[in-house]
Amino acid sequence: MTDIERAERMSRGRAAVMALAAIVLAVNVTIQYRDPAYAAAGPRGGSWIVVIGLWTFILWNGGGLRLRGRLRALLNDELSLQNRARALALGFYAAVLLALACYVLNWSRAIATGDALKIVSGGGISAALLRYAWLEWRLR
Amino acid sequence: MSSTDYETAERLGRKRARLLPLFAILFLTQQASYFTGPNVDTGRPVDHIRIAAWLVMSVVLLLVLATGGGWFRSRAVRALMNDEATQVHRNDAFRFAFFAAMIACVVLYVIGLFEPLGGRDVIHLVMSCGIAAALVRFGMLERRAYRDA
Amino acid sequence: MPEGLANRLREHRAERDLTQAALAEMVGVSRKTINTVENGVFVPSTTLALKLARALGCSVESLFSLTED
Repeated sequence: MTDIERAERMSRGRAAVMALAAIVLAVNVTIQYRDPAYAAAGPRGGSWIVVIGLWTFILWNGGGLRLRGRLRALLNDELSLQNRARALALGFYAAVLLALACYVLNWSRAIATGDALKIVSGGGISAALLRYAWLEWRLR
Repeated sequence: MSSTDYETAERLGRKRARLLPLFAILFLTQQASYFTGPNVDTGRPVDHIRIAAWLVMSVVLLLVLATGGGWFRSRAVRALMNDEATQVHRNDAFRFAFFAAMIACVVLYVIGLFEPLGGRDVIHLVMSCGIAAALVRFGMLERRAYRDA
Repeated sequence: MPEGLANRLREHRAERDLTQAALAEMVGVSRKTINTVENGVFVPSTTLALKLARALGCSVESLFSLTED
Protein backbone atom coordinates (compact mmCIF):
# COMPACT_ATOMS: atom_id res chain seq x y z
CA MET A 1 0.00 0.00 0.00
CA THR A 2 1.37 3.42 -0.89
CA ASP A 3 1.57 6.30 1.56
CA ILE A 4 -1.29 8.06 -0.27
CA GLU A 5 -3.58 5.03 0.11
CA ARG A 6 -2.53 4.58 3.73
CA ALA A 7 -3.21 8.24 4.52
CA GLU A 8 -6.59 8.02 2.76
CA ARG A 9 -7.59 5.04 4.88
CA MET A 10 -6.37 6.69 8.08
CA SER A 11 -8.23 9.85 7.26
CA ARG A 12 -11.50 7.96 6.89
CA GLY A 13 -10.77 6.09 10.12
CA ARG A 14 -10.08 9.35 11.90
CA ALA A 15 -13.37 10.82 10.69
CA ALA A 16 -15.27 7.78 11.97
CA VAL A 17 -13.54 7.87 15.37
CA MET A 18 -14.23 11.58 15.73
CA ALA A 19 -17.92 11.18 14.93
CA LEU A 20 -18.19 8.36 17.44
CA ALA A 21 -16.28 10.34 20.07
CA ALA A 22 -18.64 13.30 19.61
CA ILE A 23 -21.66 11.10 20.28
CA VAL A 24 -20.02 9.42 23.29
CA LEU A 25 -19.08 12.82 24.71
CA ALA A 26 -22.62 14.15 24.34
CA VAL A 27 -24.06 11.01 25.95
CA ASN A 28 -21.59 11.35 28.83
CA VAL A 29 -22.62 14.96 29.49
CA THR A 30 -26.23 13.77 29.68
CA ILE A 31 -25.48 10.81 31.95
CA GLN A 32 -23.28 12.82 34.31
CA TYR A 33 -25.74 15.72 34.58
CA ARG A 34 -26.69 16.25 38.24
CA ASP A 35 -24.94 13.03 39.27
CA PRO A 36 -23.06 13.82 42.51
CA ALA A 37 -20.60 10.98 41.90
CA TYR A 38 -19.16 12.88 38.94
CA ALA A 39 -19.13 16.23 40.71
CA ALA A 40 -16.73 15.35 43.53
CA ALA A 41 -12.93 15.44 43.42
CA GLY A 42 -11.84 11.91 42.60
CA PRO A 43 -11.34 9.54 39.66
CA ARG A 44 -14.86 10.06 38.30
CA GLY A 45 -14.81 13.80 38.76
CA GLY A 46 -11.31 14.04 37.34
CA SER A 47 -11.99 11.80 34.33
CA TRP A 48 -13.72 14.68 32.54
CA ILE A 49 -10.49 16.68 32.59
CA VAL A 50 -8.66 13.83 30.86
CA VAL A 51 -11.37 13.43 28.23
CA ILE A 52 -11.60 17.15 27.40
CA GLY A 53 -7.83 17.53 27.51
CA LEU A 54 -7.35 14.58 25.15
CA TRP A 55 -9.85 15.71 22.52
CA THR A 56 -8.71 19.32 22.71
CA PHE A 57 -5.16 18.08 22.09
CA ILE A 58 -6.27 15.98 19.12
CA LEU A 59 -8.24 18.86 17.63
CA TRP A 60 -5.17 21.06 18.02
CA ASN A 61 -2.77 18.81 16.08
CA GLY A 62 -5.05 16.50 14.07
CA GLY A 63 -3.69 13.33 15.64
CA GLY A 64 -1.33 10.77 14.13
CA LEU A 65 1.64 11.89 16.21
CA ARG A 66 3.29 8.49 16.00
CA LEU A 67 3.26 8.49 12.22
CA ARG A 68 6.23 9.15 9.94
CA GLY A 69 6.67 12.73 8.70
CA ARG A 70 5.37 12.21 5.15
CA LEU A 71 2.37 10.13 6.20
CA ARG A 72 1.47 12.66 8.87
CA ALA A 73 1.80 15.49 6.34
CA LEU A 74 -0.58 13.66 3.99
CA LEU A 75 -3.05 13.06 6.80
CA ASN A 76 -2.95 16.75 7.73
CA ASP A 77 -2.72 18.28 4.28
CA GLU A 78 -4.00 21.70 3.20
CA LEU A 79 -7.63 20.64 2.89
CA SER A 80 -7.57 18.88 6.24
CA LEU A 81 -6.13 21.96 7.94
CA GLN A 82 -8.85 24.08 6.38
CA ASN A 83 -11.51 21.60 7.52
CA ARG A 84 -10.12 21.65 11.02
CA ALA A 85 -10.18 25.46 11.13
CA ARG A 86 -13.83 25.47 10.02
CA ALA A 87 -14.68 22.79 12.58
CA LEU A 88 -13.04 24.71 15.42
CA ALA A 89 -14.94 27.86 14.47
CA LEU A 90 -18.20 25.92 14.71
CA GLY A 91 -17.03 24.43 18.01
CA PHE A 92 -16.50 27.91 19.39
CA TYR A 93 -19.95 29.07 18.25
CA ALA A 94 -21.52 25.97 19.82
CA ALA A 95 -19.65 26.51 23.11
CA VAL A 96 -20.75 30.14 23.25
CA LEU A 97 -24.40 29.36 22.47
CA LEU A 98 -24.47 26.64 25.11
CA ALA A 99 -22.81 28.99 27.60
CA LEU A 100 -25.44 31.64 26.95
CA ALA A 101 -28.22 29.06 27.25
CA CYS A 102 -26.83 27.81 30.59
CA TYR A 103 -26.52 31.39 31.78
CA VAL A 104 -30.13 32.21 31.01
CA LEU A 105 -31.47 28.85 32.27
CA ASN A 106 -29.61 29.39 35.54
CA TRP A 107 -32.16 32.03 36.44
CA SER A 108 -35.02 29.54 36.54
CA ARG A 109 -33.16 26.40 37.65
CA ALA A 110 -29.74 26.25 39.26
CA ILE A 111 -27.10 24.53 37.14
CA ALA A 112 -24.08 23.29 39.06
CA THR A 113 -20.66 24.63 38.10
CA GLY A 114 -19.33 21.29 36.94
CA ASP A 115 -22.43 20.59 34.88
CA ALA A 116 -22.29 24.00 33.20
CA LEU A 117 -18.63 23.50 32.31
CA LYS A 118 -19.32 20.01 30.99
CA ILE A 119 -22.16 21.25 28.83
CA VAL A 120 -20.04 24.08 27.38
CA SER A 121 -16.82 22.10 26.85
CA GLY A 122 -18.52 18.85 25.85
CA GLY A 123 -20.89 20.62 23.50
CA GLY A 124 -18.14 22.70 21.92
CA ILE A 125 -15.82 19.75 21.38
CA SER A 126 -18.63 17.49 20.12
CA ALA A 127 -19.67 20.11 17.59
CA ALA A 128 -16.08 20.55 16.40
CA LEU A 129 -15.49 16.79 16.14
CA LEU A 130 -18.74 16.19 14.25
CA ARG A 131 -18.09 19.04 11.84
CA TYR A 132 -14.53 17.89 11.19
CA ALA A 133 -15.70 14.30 10.68
CA TRP A 134 -18.42 15.45 8.28
CA LEU A 135 -16.08 17.64 6.24
CA GLU A 136 -13.38 14.95 6.04
CA TRP A 137 -15.83 12.20 5.15
CA ARG A 138 -17.89 14.16 2.66
CA LEU A 139 -14.97 15.51 0.66
CA ARG A 140 -13.07 12.26 0.25
CA MET B 1 -16.54 49.05 -6.80
CA SER B 2 -15.49 52.68 -6.74
CA SER B 3 -12.20 54.12 -5.51
CA THR B 4 -14.14 55.58 -2.60
CA ASP B 5 -15.20 52.06 -1.59
CA TYR B 6 -11.55 50.97 -1.48
CA GLU B 7 -10.51 54.01 0.53
CA THR B 8 -13.44 53.56 2.93
CA ALA B 9 -12.69 49.84 3.35
CA GLU B 10 -8.99 50.60 3.96
CA ARG B 11 -9.82 53.22 6.58
CA LEU B 12 -12.44 51.10 8.34
CA GLY B 13 -10.24 48.02 8.22
CA ARG B 14 -7.39 49.86 9.93
CA LYS B 15 -9.79 51.23 12.53
CA ARG B 16 -11.14 47.75 13.18
CA ALA B 17 -7.62 46.37 13.63
CA ARG B 18 -6.86 49.06 16.22
CA LEU B 19 -10.19 48.86 18.05
CA LEU B 20 -10.66 45.12 18.48
CA PRO B 21 -7.88 44.62 21.05
CA LEU B 22 -9.21 47.71 22.88
CA PHE B 23 -12.66 46.14 22.99
CA ALA B 24 -11.05 43.06 24.52
CA ILE B 25 -9.52 45.19 27.28
CA LEU B 26 -12.83 46.99 27.88
CA PHE B 27 -14.69 43.69 27.97
CA LEU B 28 -12.28 42.14 30.46
CA THR B 29 -12.33 45.29 32.59
CA GLN B 30 -16.10 45.04 32.74
CA GLN B 31 -15.72 41.45 33.94
CA ALA B 32 -13.30 42.58 36.63
CA SER B 33 -15.88 45.02 37.96
CA TYR B 34 -18.46 42.23 37.87
CA PHE B 35 -16.31 39.96 40.01
CA THR B 36 -15.06 42.57 42.45
CA GLY B 37 -18.47 44.20 42.94
CA PRO B 38 -21.27 42.95 45.19
CA ASN B 39 -22.88 39.60 44.45
CA VAL B 40 -25.19 40.06 41.46
CA ASP B 41 -27.72 37.47 42.63
CA THR B 42 -29.58 39.93 44.84
CA GLY B 43 -32.35 40.49 42.32
CA ARG B 44 -32.10 44.29 42.41
CA PRO B 45 -32.92 46.12 39.16
CA VAL B 46 -29.33 47.42 38.91
CA ASP B 47 -28.06 43.83 38.99
CA HIS B 48 -30.39 42.88 36.17
CA ILE B 49 -29.04 45.81 34.17
CA ARG B 50 -25.43 44.75 34.81
CA ILE B 51 -26.13 41.22 33.69
CA ALA B 52 -28.09 42.41 30.68
CA ALA B 53 -25.22 44.75 29.76
CA TRP B 54 -22.76 41.88 29.83
CA LEU B 55 -25.04 39.69 27.72
CA VAL B 56 -25.60 42.45 25.18
CA MET B 57 -21.89 43.27 24.97
CA SER B 58 -21.00 39.59 24.52
CA VAL B 59 -23.52 39.12 21.73
CA VAL B 60 -22.51 42.36 19.97
CA LEU B 61 -18.80 41.50 20.13
CA LEU B 62 -19.50 38.01 18.79
CA LEU B 63 -21.50 39.49 15.92
CA VAL B 64 -18.67 41.91 15.15
CA LEU B 65 -16.23 39.01 15.09
CA ALA B 66 -18.48 36.82 12.97
CA THR B 67 -19.44 39.47 10.43
CA GLY B 68 -16.45 41.81 10.49
CA GLY B 69 -18.56 44.85 11.34
CA GLY B 70 -19.36 47.68 8.94
CA TRP B 71 -23.03 46.82 9.19
CA PHE B 72 -24.24 50.17 7.93
CA ARG B 73 -21.84 50.29 4.99
CA SER B 74 -22.47 49.26 1.41
CA ARG B 75 -22.11 45.65 0.33
CA ALA B 76 -19.02 46.55 -1.70
CA VAL B 77 -17.26 48.03 1.32
CA ARG B 78 -18.21 45.08 3.53
CA ALA B 79 -16.94 42.65 0.88
CA LEU B 80 -13.58 44.43 0.81
CA MET B 81 -13.40 44.51 4.61
CA ASN B 82 -14.07 40.77 4.69
CA ASP B 83 -11.98 39.57 1.79
CA GLU B 84 -9.87 36.42 1.59
CA ALA B 85 -7.15 37.44 4.04
CA THR B 86 -9.64 38.65 6.65
CA GLN B 87 -11.60 35.41 6.43
CA VAL B 88 -8.42 33.46 7.12
CA HIS B 89 -7.66 35.76 10.06
CA ARG B 90 -11.17 35.28 11.41
CA ASN B 91 -10.92 31.49 11.26
CA ASP B 92 -7.59 31.66 13.04
CA ALA B 93 -9.08 33.94 15.71
CA PHE B 94 -11.94 31.50 16.35
CA ARG B 95 -9.47 28.63 16.52
CA PHE B 96 -7.58 30.58 19.19
CA ALA B 97 -10.83 31.40 20.99
CA PHE B 98 -11.91 27.76 21.00
CA PHE B 99 -8.72 26.64 22.70
CA ALA B 100 -8.79 29.56 25.15
CA ALA B 101 -12.36 28.66 26.12
CA MET B 102 -11.54 24.95 26.52
CA ILE B 103 -8.49 25.70 28.65
CA ALA B 104 -10.62 28.03 30.78
CA CYS B 105 -13.22 25.25 31.15
CA VAL B 106 -10.60 22.75 32.31
CA VAL B 107 -8.94 25.17 34.75
CA LEU B 108 -12.27 26.25 36.25
CA TYR B 109 -13.43 22.64 36.42
CA VAL B 110 -10.35 21.70 38.44
CA ILE B 111 -10.80 24.68 40.76
CA GLY B 112 -14.52 23.86 41.05
CA LEU B 113 -13.72 20.39 42.37
CA PHE B 114 -12.09 21.92 45.44
CA GLU B 115 -13.58 25.41 45.82
CA PRO B 116 -17.22 26.50 45.48
CA LEU B 117 -17.75 28.44 42.25
CA GLY B 118 -21.03 29.84 40.95
CA GLY B 119 -22.37 28.40 37.69
CA ARG B 120 -22.95 31.84 36.19
CA ASP B 121 -19.53 33.08 37.32
CA VAL B 122 -17.71 30.32 35.48
CA ILE B 123 -19.73 30.94 32.34
CA HIS B 124 -18.79 34.61 32.56
CA LEU B 125 -15.13 33.65 32.78
CA VAL B 126 -15.22 31.07 29.98
CA MET B 127 -17.01 33.39 27.59
CA SER B 128 -14.80 36.32 28.52
CA CYS B 129 -11.67 34.27 27.85
CA GLY B 130 -12.96 33.05 24.52
CA ILE B 131 -14.28 36.36 23.24
CA ALA B 132 -11.25 38.34 24.42
CA ALA B 133 -8.86 35.80 22.86
CA ALA B 134 -10.69 36.06 19.54
CA LEU B 135 -10.69 39.87 19.58
CA VAL B 136 -7.00 40.12 20.42
CA ARG B 137 -5.93 37.48 17.88
CA PHE B 138 -8.06 38.94 15.09
CA GLY B 139 -6.85 42.45 15.86
CA MET B 140 -3.21 41.34 15.93
CA LEU B 141 -3.45 39.50 12.61
CA GLU B 142 -5.21 42.43 10.93
CA ARG B 143 -2.65 44.90 12.27
CA ARG B 144 0.19 42.74 11.04
CA ALA B 145 -1.45 42.64 7.62
CA TYR B 146 -1.43 46.44 7.41
CA ARG B 147 2.20 46.67 8.43
CA ASP B 148 4.39 47.29 5.39
CA ALA B 149 7.51 45.21 4.85
CA MET C 1 11.65 18.15 2.16
CA PRO C 2 9.42 21.06 3.26
CA GLU C 3 8.31 23.43 0.46
CA GLY C 4 7.78 27.20 0.72
CA LEU C 5 6.30 29.69 -1.63
CA ALA C 6 8.32 32.49 -3.16
CA ASN C 7 6.62 35.37 -4.89
CA ARG C 8 7.72 38.19 -7.16
CA LEU C 9 4.51 40.14 -6.86
CA ARG C 10 6.20 43.29 -5.57
CA GLU C 11 8.71 43.31 -8.44
CA HIS C 12 6.05 42.81 -11.12
CA ARG C 13 3.85 45.48 -9.53
CA ALA C 14 6.75 47.96 -9.37
CA GLU C 15 7.64 47.28 -13.03
CA ARG C 16 4.17 48.38 -14.02
CA ASP C 17 4.33 51.40 -11.71
CA LEU C 18 1.30 50.33 -9.69
CA THR C 19 0.65 51.03 -6.03
CA GLN C 20 -0.68 48.26 -3.80
CA ALA C 21 -3.99 50.12 -3.69
CA ALA C 22 -4.21 50.30 -7.47
CA LEU C 23 -3.47 46.58 -7.85
CA ALA C 24 -5.97 45.77 -5.11
CA GLU C 25 -8.60 47.74 -6.97
CA MET C 26 -7.83 45.87 -10.19
CA VAL C 27 -8.36 42.44 -8.60
CA GLY C 28 -11.14 43.35 -6.16
CA VAL C 29 -9.44 42.81 -2.80
CA SER C 30 -8.25 45.12 -0.05
CA ARG C 31 -4.80 46.69 -0.13
CA LYS C 32 -4.01 44.77 3.04
CA THR C 33 -4.41 41.47 1.19
CA ILE C 34 -1.92 42.56 -1.49
CA ASN C 35 0.46 43.61 1.28
CA THR C 36 0.24 40.25 3.08
CA VAL C 37 0.75 38.32 -0.18
CA GLU C 38 3.84 40.40 -1.03
CA ASN C 39 5.26 39.92 2.46
CA GLY C 40 4.78 36.17 2.22
CA VAL C 41 2.43 36.18 5.21
CA PHE C 42 -0.64 35.10 3.27
CA VAL C 43 -0.87 32.43 0.56
CA PRO C 44 -3.53 33.54 -1.93
CA SER C 45 -6.17 31.19 -3.27
CA THR C 46 -5.83 29.92 -6.84
CA THR C 47 -8.55 32.35 -7.91
CA LEU C 48 -6.74 35.33 -6.44
CA ALA C 49 -3.39 34.19 -7.88
CA LEU C 50 -4.95 33.97 -11.34
CA LYS C 51 -6.56 37.40 -10.96
CA LEU C 52 -3.22 38.89 -9.94
CA ALA C 53 -1.47 37.31 -12.92
CA ARG C 54 -4.15 38.60 -15.29
CA ALA C 55 -4.03 42.10 -13.79
CA LEU C 56 -0.24 42.21 -14.17
CA GLY C 57 -0.27 40.64 -17.62
CA CYS C 58 1.98 37.74 -16.72
CA SER C 59 1.72 34.04 -15.88
CA VAL C 60 1.01 32.70 -12.40
CA GLU C 61 4.32 30.82 -12.54
CA SER C 62 6.22 34.07 -13.03
CA LEU C 63 4.56 35.47 -9.91
CA PHE C 64 4.73 32.45 -7.60
CA SER C 65 7.14 29.55 -7.37
CA LEU C 66 7.98 26.79 -4.95
CA THR C 67 11.14 27.00 -2.90
CA GLU C 68 12.76 23.99 -1.32
CA ASP C 69 14.58 24.21 2.00
